[in-house]
Amino acid sequence: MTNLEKIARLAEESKYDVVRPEMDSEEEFDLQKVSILGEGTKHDVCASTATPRIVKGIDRIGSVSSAGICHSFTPDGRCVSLFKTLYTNKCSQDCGYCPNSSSCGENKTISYTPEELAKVTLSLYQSNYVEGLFLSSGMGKDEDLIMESLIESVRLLREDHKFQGYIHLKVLPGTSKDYIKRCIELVDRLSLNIETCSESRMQEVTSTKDYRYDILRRQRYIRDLSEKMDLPAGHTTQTIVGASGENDREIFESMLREYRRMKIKRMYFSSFTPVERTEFEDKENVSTGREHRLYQTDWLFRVYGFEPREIIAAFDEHGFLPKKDPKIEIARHVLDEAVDPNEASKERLLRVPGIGPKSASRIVRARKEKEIIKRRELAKFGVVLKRARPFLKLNGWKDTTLDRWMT
Amino acid sequence: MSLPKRDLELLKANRRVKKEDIELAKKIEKEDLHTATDESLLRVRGLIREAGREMHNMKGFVRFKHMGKKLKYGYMKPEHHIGFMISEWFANRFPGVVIVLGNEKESWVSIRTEKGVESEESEDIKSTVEKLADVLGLETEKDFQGLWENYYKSQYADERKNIELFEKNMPAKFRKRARNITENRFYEKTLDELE
Ligand code: SF4
Repeated sequence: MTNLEKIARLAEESKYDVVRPEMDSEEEFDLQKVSILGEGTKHDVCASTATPRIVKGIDRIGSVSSAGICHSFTPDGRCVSLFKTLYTNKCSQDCGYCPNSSSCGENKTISYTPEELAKVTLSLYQSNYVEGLFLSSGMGKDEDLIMESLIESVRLLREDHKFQGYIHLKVLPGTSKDYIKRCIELVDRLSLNIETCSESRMQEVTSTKDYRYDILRRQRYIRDLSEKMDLPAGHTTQTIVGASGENDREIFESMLREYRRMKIKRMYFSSFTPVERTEFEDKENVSTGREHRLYQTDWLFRVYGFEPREIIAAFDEHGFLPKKDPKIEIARHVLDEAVDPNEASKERLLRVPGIGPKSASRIVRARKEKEIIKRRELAKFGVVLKRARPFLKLNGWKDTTLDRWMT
Repeated sequence: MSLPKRDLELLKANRRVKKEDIELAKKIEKEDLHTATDESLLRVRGLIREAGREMHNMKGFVRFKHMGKKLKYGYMKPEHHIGFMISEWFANRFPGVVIVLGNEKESWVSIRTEKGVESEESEDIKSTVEKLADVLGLETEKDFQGLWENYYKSQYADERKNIELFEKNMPAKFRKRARNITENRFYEKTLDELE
């Protein structure tokens, strides 16, 4: 028997595929449904698939990765790693930016059944197009009924099909505590989008959602339950940038509240894009640059450990971030003199533009063994010299103050 | 203390590795690589990263076709010697299913069962799949490229078009090594529309 025959024999003998559904052939899928309901989620930007969940045993389909895996990118540069879809496009709410809103008039209702959704997910997953499922939905006529269908879809995958890939489920505004509990038992990540940064801003985009009751209260349920149960990849939220006339500072402050009070894992920002036939179709498109700068403040707070009072220095008098890296503006405020990489603390090094957590750690470790003398050495630690130079002094020598202010 | 096993494997898998790189790697710790300024350590760090990057991308970009429930196969032409690392990784993801990855010249076959992972190197992917399908009595081939194409297009936001970022995240060389037909086609179309 050749080795290939031996492998084939092992496959024949293995009983670990008996639970797998025989995959439908492609012709049996409603491709238009896949497109329309897929498109309904393209402004939901979380594409993370990283989860610390440990997959055990071999009687299963799939696994997860602690670092996450990107399976594709579209020509807009964004990662496509999950089968991201709405369950239904029917919605009773009237959000002014959304094409599924009840204020857009009658849309043709398109919905999956849990079985259909499970089959599409498994077909894409088993062909290695995606790392799992990201399931969101319009709220239908009755959000409880839709939430039940969402839960049934992920239950079917997890329990009947023994699917162990990644699942991110959206909690609909107003969902009951019992349903949230059931969701936590089944998924890697939950999210509930705050969409706007405050109650008054929410009133500018919808008359049907109650910010405190439908959103904040449900986020507290998620927070409290996930402290007692295991929600491996945590819970997240997203806000639309520029849909309700807010400034960056308002968004930044709501981000702080979300991290501190709601204990979210990540805040996502999606810049507003007007969609035809919606109430907001004539509003101006918001640049992705604005979204990007908000992500930079998020990064400074969450990864670099900057204090909010330091970050606030980057906002202008109207509460907007400048059209450049906010770290430069912050450095001008907090670094009263040039930083010596041989002496500065790691925290101080981190405040220099062009130095990140990795390069700061490398500098701190390397200088224990040998004094840093040349700029070139810093470049080898990953420092972006062009940006860092005006804020550094090496061997008592520093670049001109003019340079520092002209960066 | 030494380098983690995974890093050593990736270093050995790099097509450009030299004997002295491996010798050096055996004497150092992970931390030494982090703080390296010395050219030879930087080289080792670079080689590990390069093979690791290819490995990470192939895990995401490889696509499978199916024969029955027992056999999956996909095109892969890696630059580095990571064939088995990937086929075994997929075998662990899909227990009980034969995984075949490969190209016109070579292929890597793996399966995970209750006894562990079995792997075998084989000739070109076409003949390997034919032989296995023959033994397993499998005939019909299925793929879900059309399903993927529909979904993939639905995720594109024209107002965010950023070709540079796409090229950075999904470089042509990886699209070629994993044969990403849908992505290439859609990308070309987007470029045409640009002109
Ligand atoms: S709740 Fe608002 S944003 Fe969500 S589907 Fe309904 S109308 Fe659209």
